Amino acid sequence: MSEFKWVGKAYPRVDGYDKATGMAKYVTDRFFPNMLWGAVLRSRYPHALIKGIDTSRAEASKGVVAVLTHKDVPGLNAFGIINQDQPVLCKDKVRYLGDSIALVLAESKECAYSALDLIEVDYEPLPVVSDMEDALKTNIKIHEKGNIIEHVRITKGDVEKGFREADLIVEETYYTPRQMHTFLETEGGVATIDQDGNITLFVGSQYPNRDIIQIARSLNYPMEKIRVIAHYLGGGFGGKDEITAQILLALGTLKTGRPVKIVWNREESLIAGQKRLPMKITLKTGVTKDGKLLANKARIIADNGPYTCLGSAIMKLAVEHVSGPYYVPHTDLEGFSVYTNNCIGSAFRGFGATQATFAIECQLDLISKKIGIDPLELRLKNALRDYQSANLGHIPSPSVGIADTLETLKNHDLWKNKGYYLKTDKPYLKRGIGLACSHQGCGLGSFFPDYGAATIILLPGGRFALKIGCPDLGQGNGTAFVMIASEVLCCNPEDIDLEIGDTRSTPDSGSTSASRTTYTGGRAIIQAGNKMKANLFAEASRMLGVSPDSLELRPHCVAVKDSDLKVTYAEIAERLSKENRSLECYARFDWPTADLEFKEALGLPHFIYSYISEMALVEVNVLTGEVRVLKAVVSPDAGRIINRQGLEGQAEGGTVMGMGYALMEEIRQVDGHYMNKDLSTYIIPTAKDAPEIETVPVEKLEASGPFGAKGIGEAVCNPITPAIINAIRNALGINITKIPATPEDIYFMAKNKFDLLRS
Amino acid sequence: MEKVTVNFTLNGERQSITVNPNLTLLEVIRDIFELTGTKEGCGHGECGACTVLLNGKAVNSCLVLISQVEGKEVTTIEGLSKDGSVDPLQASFIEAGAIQCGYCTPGMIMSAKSLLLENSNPSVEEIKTAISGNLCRCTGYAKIIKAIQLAARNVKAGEAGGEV
Amino acid sequence: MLKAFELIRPGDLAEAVAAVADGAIPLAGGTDLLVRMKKGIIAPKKIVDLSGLKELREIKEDEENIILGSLVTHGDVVNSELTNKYLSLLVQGCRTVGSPQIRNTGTLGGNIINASPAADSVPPLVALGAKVVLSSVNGEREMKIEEFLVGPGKTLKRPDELLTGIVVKKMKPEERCLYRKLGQRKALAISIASVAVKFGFDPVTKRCTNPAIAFGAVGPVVKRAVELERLLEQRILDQQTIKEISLKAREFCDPISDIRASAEYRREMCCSLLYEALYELTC
Repeated sequence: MSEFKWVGKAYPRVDGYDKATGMAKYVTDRFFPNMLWGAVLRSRYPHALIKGIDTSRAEASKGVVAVLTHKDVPGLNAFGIINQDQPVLCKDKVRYLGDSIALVLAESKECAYSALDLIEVDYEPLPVVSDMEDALKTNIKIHEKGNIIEHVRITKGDVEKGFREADLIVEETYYTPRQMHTFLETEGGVATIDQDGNITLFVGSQYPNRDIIQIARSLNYPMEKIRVIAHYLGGGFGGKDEITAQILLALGTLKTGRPVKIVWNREESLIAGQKRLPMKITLKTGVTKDGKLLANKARIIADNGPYTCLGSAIMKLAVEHVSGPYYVPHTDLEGFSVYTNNCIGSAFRGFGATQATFAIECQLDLISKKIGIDPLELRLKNALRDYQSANLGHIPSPSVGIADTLETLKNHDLWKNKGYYLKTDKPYLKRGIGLACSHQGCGLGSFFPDYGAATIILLPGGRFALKIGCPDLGQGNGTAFVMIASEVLCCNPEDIDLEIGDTRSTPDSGSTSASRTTYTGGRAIIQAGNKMKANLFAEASRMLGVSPDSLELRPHCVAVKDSDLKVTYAEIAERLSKENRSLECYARFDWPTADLEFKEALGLPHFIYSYISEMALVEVNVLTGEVRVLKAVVSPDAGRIINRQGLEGQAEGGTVMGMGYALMEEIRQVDGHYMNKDLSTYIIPTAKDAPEIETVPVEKLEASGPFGAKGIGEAVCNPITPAIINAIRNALGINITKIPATPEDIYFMAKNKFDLLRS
Repeated sequence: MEKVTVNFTLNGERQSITVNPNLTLLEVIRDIFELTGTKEGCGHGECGACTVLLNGKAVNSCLVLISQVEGKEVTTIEGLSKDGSVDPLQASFIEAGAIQCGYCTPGMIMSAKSLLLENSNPSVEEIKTAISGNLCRCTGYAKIIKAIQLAARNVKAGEAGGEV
Repeated sequence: MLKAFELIRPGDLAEAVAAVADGAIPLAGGTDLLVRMKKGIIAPKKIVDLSGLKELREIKEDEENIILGSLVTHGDVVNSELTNKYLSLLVQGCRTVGSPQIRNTGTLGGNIINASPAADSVPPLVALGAKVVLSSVNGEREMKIEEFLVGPGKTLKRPDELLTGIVVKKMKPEERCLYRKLGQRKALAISIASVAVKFGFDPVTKRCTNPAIAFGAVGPVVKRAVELERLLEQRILDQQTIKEISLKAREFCDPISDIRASAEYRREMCCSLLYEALYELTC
């Protein structure tokens, strides 16, 4: 029997009914009377000076109400969470094809988009910086300060000593692609303004409270007159963390006094939207002949595109994670984040750990092959243990579950009976099994304020309102919040009205990102719940005439211990109402941080990590290079599981997303121009591509977490990519260092080994 | 542009609309009838978010010109849950955890509905084929497949007079 | 968003043909036409909506042939008893087109008229020696599909003609066939390369008769690989033979490089897909 009534159960989503019936109004589903449509003119060149912008013909076009340019931006014509280096509307320079130059506001979508062709922009094209290594060397500057956004180097021990002591040194360079979030709901929303100048946005966002700061700064407008609502959202995955359409929506409604809707079409989303940034990762790893990791030296360079967004922080996370969840005594880790004229690189589930995981986990399989040690045993031998120093020299919170997840895989039938699973009945099909581990720092890391907050209100009838700011992008944190509150308040999830992601009515609870919301929101809810509990005890003690110490919570009521005497929440609420009183409890929770901080690499390191191991069974057709992922077994350690169904959903979704990254997904650019334009040239896995997925969780409890929980939303997409690549290595004996590994790549790599037609 | 009059059935109700001929079925459903359960994900038939039933078969409503629905029956996600009771597929999607962000869900359910109307006892492969035109970025499809199996079982149990 | 156009809704085939003669662009399923209009590749001034012409959606048979109306959808082909009995190769091809939604809307006629080298119904139709029926105000004419398709997006359809039907000889029960498509993923994919193979096969002697092979997406048009067919004719299809013949396939294609694959890969895939098809049909 579980000690919990709700925590750990598989509980269906609280918003399932609204979503299954089509009743849920997504931010882009909102229509308002008298609403205008906005369309954005984007750049014709990846890099050019703007010599002039003439909007007169567009302004005269049928149905057009206004055409806004940089001149119309009242405040700072720039935004960015880290560096404000991205223009709201470009004035004198464009730096990628997605740059916004003008906003057309018109009576219909058709009028708005048609008028874009009538805006005349006089460009002077500049040479394009499209290669990240070139960006370091060239004298073509994308921004005045140069092309390096940030450079960090962090060392631990003495890496050269480690190499001297090593029996084997393996060096390899890995390349990762630009991946698109491909949320089904593209960027956009609706903005309205009332007669008092209050602006309200329904918009795709992962942090509405931070959006307000950026909107207010660019509009030179009071923050308290701006409200952002991010609910419901059709996916985020990091791609809605930085500003997308928010400032233009607010500007449009401010300038016209009418509701404005902007929804990027799929091509705009592909061209202008943020992406997982490509990295080139060179590793030099030293190991003893019995498989003990001694030293890891890394050089990481990240193609951030033309603006910082969250890119430099992502590069730093890659640095932090590039030695894997292992104990390595000597490390020397260096990273560069550079500007190019490619698509913007920014947050994407995994946030740099994904790229790093691909590199180190392929590296470990290379090592395992070279020294002849089983890849699982190699990882187990080096797996980080509680109280060991991690790769930046810090001691993570002692909830390090990586070894447990590896043991889980080791005991799984797929690993134990490999021989059986590797058989095929056709000469052209070869199977392989591969595995990989990963970890993911939860939260924003050292230095940055990182907190969660929640409000709980007792409602008439004994129900509760639960208010929390961090939006539910779809992953189900809202349902986890309700389950946690139900556990604390001893009620059913149906008795809780969740309100989420609205800057007017919900407390700022930080961003929905960084695997942080279940942990931080959960803790805030527990604290608010405990306050509520104390208040309920006080009221009940007064109503029952007993001491608060003699009371306990039972379902929907406060009762006297070992007695039938009780008062229901509904009765307490009624009593309070009669007395003109109410119960509202707010609590804020601040993250614990690591024992180390790097002044030259703010944000590093993290203190709490989730851990994960995953293995994949693949079947390769050597005639074509096609890969079928038949099965994936994933063992996540997210600490205490709050919602079993939610955890599995994350593990399954992350697995298929990471599979796409391994095998098919890439925004391809040549000289800043895009080779993909739509979802038939940028492809993600369909139901027929997805493997059977089994989730076998490990619960290494995190003492500071809600009931012992950590975050898992990101780690789930990390290990599957190298697990698949390692499985292909296992099947064919080829060393893949660049993803996506397309059938064509695999075919040519394997051709000489398996030339069936010539044998 | 000369307008066209199109007569069709939408979620069981007869409709006659006179509109510009360059509207797609998706635009009519969302903008004229304000049924926003049907989503636009790509506009090019590459994601399936706009899937509705046309005479019982799944189609991408973004690639159907409004005149093409003349005399036909259109069913959207809203048409599956009349009078407060939900379709077995809607119930099973909720129960099995087949929904995350939910933006693909209406289209996904309509494709599954098209399948179950033709085949009450589909295999896993048949289910995968039936939803292969519906992209989902959140779930990895596993629970969607389970939900469709569950709905098929529940429908059969219901028809046999058993517990649903 | 679609740009404005004039819509014609014909009451019968004669009116439809007249509209085409008058310059209207026929709308069959719309799955390709509407995408090209939305992308701004074409902007027709007049469109004739064929969806009311029930007679173009029939699948009929005579003694020798299956006759398919040009508005028969890929889904109709997949589900029809007649095609499943007599045109298994075409059924296999249609099953791989796009997605269920596209198959439920997209038509055989549209797939042919687009003249895309990657159209999945076309290699089967070419291998089966299908004929297209073209109607105009002046009457009807028939032409072999292989002659009808002359380049990417190009056919011998005259501006005043409407494709109204496809006539395909029934396959014989002793014939074996396979359509093998290679895409970037397992569904909702555009062919990188594909092959349609059909031949008579005696399982005891392993002798091959009357072979027909057509590759998709590896040249400007889909055509019969007659040289390969000649190599297969009357041969005993043992492992060595199918390998040798498959290796020659690279000589009979003319592929291009694009975002989906390089020309060299496509060339190699002609060999691989043919081998896999022959292996599956004979082993």
